[in-house]
Amino acid sequence: MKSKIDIAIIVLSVICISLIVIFIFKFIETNKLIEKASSLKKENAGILEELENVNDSLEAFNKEYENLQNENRKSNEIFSSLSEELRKLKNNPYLKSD
Amino acid sequence: MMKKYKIFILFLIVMLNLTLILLIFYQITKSKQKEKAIIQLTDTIDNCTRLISENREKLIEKISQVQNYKVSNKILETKISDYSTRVSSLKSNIYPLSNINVSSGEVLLFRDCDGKNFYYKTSSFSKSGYYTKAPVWFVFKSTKSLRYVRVKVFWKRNIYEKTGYLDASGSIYVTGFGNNLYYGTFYVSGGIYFAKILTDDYYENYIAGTGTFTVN
Repeated sequence: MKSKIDIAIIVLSVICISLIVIFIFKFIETNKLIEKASSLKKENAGILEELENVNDSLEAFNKEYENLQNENRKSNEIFSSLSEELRKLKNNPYLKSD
Repeated sequence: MMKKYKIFILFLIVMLNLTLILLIFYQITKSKQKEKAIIQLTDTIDNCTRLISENREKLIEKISQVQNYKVSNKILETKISDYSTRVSSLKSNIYPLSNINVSSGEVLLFRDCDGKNFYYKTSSFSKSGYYTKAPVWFVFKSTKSLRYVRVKVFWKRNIYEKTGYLDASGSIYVTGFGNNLYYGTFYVSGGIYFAKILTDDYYENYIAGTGTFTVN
């Protein structure tokens, strides 16, 4: 006949084994999550770098665009003044007929 | 003795269970934190991916605009170059100012930027008394024959104008300005043109004699 202590030891041992199993599962799960988070961090870092590159390119093109726009405006002004000058010259009475 | 040993074992098992429970809770907490971090990272990655996608579209659009501007600037450059050449060519085809000489000491010659208007300003202008005609001679020489001449006579605040064609003999008479009589005579002789304007001022003893010639 087993005593109450024996029964308690058996029951607690079973619980202990169960807890060990649960702990192992949780440990594995947590490790997987840690790995996943680590991989996501790496991915995030890569994407951030890519975003930075794209932003840099965009900024560079914006600057180039602004420069070209200014150049275009100046060229248009020059062209307008040349057109006006040409028009006046064509109307110049002292233009040689030949 | 056996009982004491069993109680000790029981105590150990209880402690082990408690430790395991604590460890399991720790793992649960840790995994929850990691799950939260994963969700945040996933959101960040999604946002970044969306931003990259948007910025790439913007970049493509900007590249296209830049290309357009480059092409436009290239075209403008070509046009400017072409127009500059034409302007230079036309400029070289215009009789230079030195060909239009003032041969009278009484007049000065100016020309505006488009070469269209010629301004003559008298350096001396004499007039004595009412109805006395004071002739002013405008003399300029041109190697190009002129057919149409417009004469303007500036007289204080008023401007009188008369237009006319040079006739075969090369003379033009400008007459009939109000009550006063003004006329100019042009003589054509071998490409040398003489302009003579006579003025008569009833109200003023002195006329700031400024004349403008526009040759069309």
